[in-house]
Amino acid sequence: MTAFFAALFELEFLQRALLGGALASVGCGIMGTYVVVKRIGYLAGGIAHAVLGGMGVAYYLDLNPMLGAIAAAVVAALLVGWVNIGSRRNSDTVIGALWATGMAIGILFISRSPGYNVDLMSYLFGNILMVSAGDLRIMVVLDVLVVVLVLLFYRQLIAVAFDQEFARLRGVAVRFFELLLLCVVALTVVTLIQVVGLILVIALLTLPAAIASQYARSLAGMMVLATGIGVVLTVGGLALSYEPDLPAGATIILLAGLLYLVSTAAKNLVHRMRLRRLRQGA
Amino acid sequence: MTSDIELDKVSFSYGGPLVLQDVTLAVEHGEFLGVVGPNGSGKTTLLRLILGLLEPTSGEVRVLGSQPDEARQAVGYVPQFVSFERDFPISVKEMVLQGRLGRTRLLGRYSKADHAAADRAMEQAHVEQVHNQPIGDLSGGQVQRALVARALVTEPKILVLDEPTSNIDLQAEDNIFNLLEQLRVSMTIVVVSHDIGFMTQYVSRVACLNRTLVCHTTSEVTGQVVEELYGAPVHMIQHPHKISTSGPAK
Repeated sequence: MTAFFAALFELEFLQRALLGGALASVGCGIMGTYVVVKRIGYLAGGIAHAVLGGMGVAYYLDLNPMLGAIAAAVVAALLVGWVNIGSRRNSDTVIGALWATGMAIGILFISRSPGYNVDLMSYLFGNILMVSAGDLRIMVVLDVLVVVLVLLFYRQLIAVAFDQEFARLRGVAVRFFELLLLCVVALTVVTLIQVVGLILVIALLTLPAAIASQYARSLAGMMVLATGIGVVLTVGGLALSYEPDLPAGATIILLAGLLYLVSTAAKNLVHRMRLRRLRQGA
Repeated sequence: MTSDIELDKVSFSYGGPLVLQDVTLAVEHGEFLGVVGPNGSGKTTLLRLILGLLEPTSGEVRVLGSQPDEARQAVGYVPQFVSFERDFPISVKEMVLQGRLGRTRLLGRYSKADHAAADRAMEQAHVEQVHNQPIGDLSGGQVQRALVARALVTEPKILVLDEPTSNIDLQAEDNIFNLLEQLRVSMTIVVVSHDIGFMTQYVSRVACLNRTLVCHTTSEVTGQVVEELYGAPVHMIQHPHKISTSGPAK
């Protein structure tokens, strides 16, 4: 741990990694909160995996894979949102199909790319230590977008997430906000892919928000708390993984899973003790 | 003057058999209408037609003289208890404030006027003491009253309630109907329920629905009518404490 903090002052890539983790935490704290309360974790997972298709095509065409990822994420979000809003019946199947076909497209294009030497592992599992200054800039832009949108439309987004039908009756453009929400979730997924890769995205999107939901009393509080937890987890995971040279993304996720487990168990224990005290008092 | 709600030979199907057939019904201003009927009788469908969430297959629905979806701003809606997750991190006041969405500015926060309206509505519905609590901590009756407050904050001319008593105990049910009794002086109320025995003591008129409008009465609903409606004898449970104070509404 001490070696990590000593190295932090000297090594620029570590500073970038730390900043990348913090920037990703903002997006995952805010949008993860919506994902958790709306219970669309599977949908977000589908988008995350479909993103590989866009990255593969961009790589094949010699473009920046981040741009391919953004395009694929938005297309996937609109597709799922369109099906989801039309009828709730088969969205599960559609998400599953999107999930797998997106990945298949990505793998095919990457295999056909000239000089097949791309590190597929870094797409799948991320590499926060390789975050470039350009990636950080894209992350800042996406974070600003997320924060501004939520500040402007907090009330509409909460109403749509809480009770769609009532929101529609109050004249809220439910369809628009639903699609907007999915698109922003998709963009958040793209920022997180840099940090933990597309397979592990779902954990970083949902676990900080799920932990926060055990303590927060409002959606805004949950967002702030989830962002803070995200920062602690990414910094902690990075620090823990540095000296033994473990994969940073996997360490961050494992730490998140552990914290969720401990928090849930503690919450349960407190609840039981309170019940017992009530029974003894009666 | 036209009626607040008018249904003219309305039929509706979700694509299969007719759920509603030839329903003609007019609700006058200031009426307290109870719509009763067994499960699957089309009660909720009727409500959704009035709210403009569905369009009739044939016939016409008019609310306050306009198309239902144009009249929405003047209709307060209290949905069924189950339409949202109880563990959603939202306080009573925040939920009630959502009723202001159609009336307040598009961007940013709720205005002072919105907060004042929410406070008033919560007082009317007797949930002001719990305004800061998460809805997950409330009892069934309190949630129902908070939902009424959310509908009241829209300053409706018509209040529409879908099964307001289906998930709460008798005492809470009593409270809800007492609350509606106070509200009926200032607005038209339509309540949908399968709980026929209790509701008929409060409403000014009952519409019995089972695909068609089976009966349509301002007098007491008799056992024979209920039998006709449900197609089998039904035990009507009377609540003695009510009978002593007020008889069935005439």
